[in-house]
Amino acid sequence: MEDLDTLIEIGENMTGTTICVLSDSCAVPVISGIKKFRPEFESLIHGRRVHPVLEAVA
Amino acid sequence: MAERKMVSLTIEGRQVSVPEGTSILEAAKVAGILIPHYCYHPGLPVAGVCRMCLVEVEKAPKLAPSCATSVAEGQVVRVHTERAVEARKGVLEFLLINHPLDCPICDQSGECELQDYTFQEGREDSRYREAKRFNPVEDFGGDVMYVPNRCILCTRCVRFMDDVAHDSVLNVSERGDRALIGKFEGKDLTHPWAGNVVDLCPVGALLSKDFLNKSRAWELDRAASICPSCTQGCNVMIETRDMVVARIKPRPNEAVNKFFICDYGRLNYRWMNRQDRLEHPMVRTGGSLKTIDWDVAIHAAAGVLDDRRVYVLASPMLSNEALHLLSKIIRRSGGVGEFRVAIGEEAPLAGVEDLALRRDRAANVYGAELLGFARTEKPLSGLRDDDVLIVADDDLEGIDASAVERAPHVMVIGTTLPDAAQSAAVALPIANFAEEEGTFTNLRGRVQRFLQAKPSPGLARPSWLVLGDLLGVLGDQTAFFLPSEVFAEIARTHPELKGLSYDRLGMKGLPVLGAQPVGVAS
Repeated sequence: MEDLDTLIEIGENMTGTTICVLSDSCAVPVISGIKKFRPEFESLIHGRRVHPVLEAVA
Repeated sequence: MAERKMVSLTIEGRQVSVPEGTSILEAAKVAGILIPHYCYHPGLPVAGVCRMCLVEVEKAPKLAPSCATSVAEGQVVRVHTERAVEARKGVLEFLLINHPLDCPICDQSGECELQDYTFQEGREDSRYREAKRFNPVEDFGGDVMYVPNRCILCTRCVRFMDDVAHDSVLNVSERGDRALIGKFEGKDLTHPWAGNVVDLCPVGALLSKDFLNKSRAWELDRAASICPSCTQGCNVMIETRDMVVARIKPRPNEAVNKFFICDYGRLNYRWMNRQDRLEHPMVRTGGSLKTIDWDVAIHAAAGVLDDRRVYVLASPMLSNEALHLLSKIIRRSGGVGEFRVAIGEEAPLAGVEDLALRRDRAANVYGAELLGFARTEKPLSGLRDDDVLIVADDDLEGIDASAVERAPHVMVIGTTLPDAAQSAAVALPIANFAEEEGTFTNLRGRVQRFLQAKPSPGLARPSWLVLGDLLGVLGDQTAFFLPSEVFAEIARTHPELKGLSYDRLGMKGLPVLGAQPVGVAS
């Protein structure tokens, strides 16, 4: 779980602080992915294959 | 030259005014703030690759690399804000990902910028769980060894070889996390100035083979000095461990050697540690040289000199102070003083004006000439049959004992007792260059001070003290208690050195009057 925070932190260190701009573009999708879809990541980590919302609907 | 426009800005709340075009990093130095940096070096072109010098500039959206950002009027720079410190902490974490934790066996430890800045503002732990990249140690030729695992790819060494030495040997091979410093095919770091890459390297990636495993940085004692290996007079730091010279490092001086010294000067220090020294004053009694007290020896020396004409064969490695006192002994007897100089090949450093390893391989050729000594190719040719021959630290190499014995009276004032001078009536031991204080005059007429780096062996005394005592017994009324007092007398009696003193010279030196400015071809 704390890996998600580590990823965000390292991603933030990679945006705007490197000489190569490709660093920004590889960090941005990871950061926004985690920020927008955190529950999906968390449920995957907990071993569930399906999104909690979908689980409730089914 | 037109005055450069000055720009005022605020760094960490301190107002500074610097010339237009200065980098924020240099301006911060003026304000007394050291911004952490790796790739930036004042003697090299700016690269801006390490990202360690990131600072916050007000009204700028992104953090700015202070080495590559010029100052602007009214700019407000913050170095220690949370955002800037966090960014630098991140950079340090990235740099340390593949950096081994081998400080205990690393030669750079104690003078390592990666160590210093990590201690200053890095993370206390590592979040990196994977295996570190590994590359084997490589011999770069010359005096340089490369440990790729420790390299942080600041490219200082690459830029030195390309832009200062003008001999492209190094490059950044591979890219991404596989990148390392490589040599071009078939080339070696054999350039006569290549050893500087070891000093430039901020970490322990480039190491001197000569200094390898010799000492930890904190065990060394340092003395500001002048490189004695040629007439260029590069400013150096002599570093000793347990009173033995362990290495020589350049000491920055914009007017002489910038930040560099050549490999010849860097590695030519073993003679300073010679063990076969003349350690006690000796006087000939009953046909052989016997060890004796200083007082007796000085009086015996004065007895030998008496009112006879002297011929001095001096060493151009003697300080101005020693040569001046010798010239007083010469003048009172109407004698002559000569010296000879070892010759080598000239090796310029292309990227710096008027900096080279000079042909004359002795420190004080210009000073000796200024103080009345004549350069000669044929030593002892001016020796008359009734002269007192004073061998003043010349090693008499290539001179036969019979040539020396031509003089009825021989006196040695030196660091060693040469075989050819076994016929000496008196031998007075003096300290060598690393063991005393004094000044040298370089080929552009710049007078520069050097300090004592280690003690002299046995009863040997500084050359100026021995010669001052001798002059005292001969009836000279001036007493000298410090080398600065001898220098003051030189300044009084020589119009070229008028107004100079140890205080005015400082540790960077000053040119004598009428000296050729730097850049004028000789």
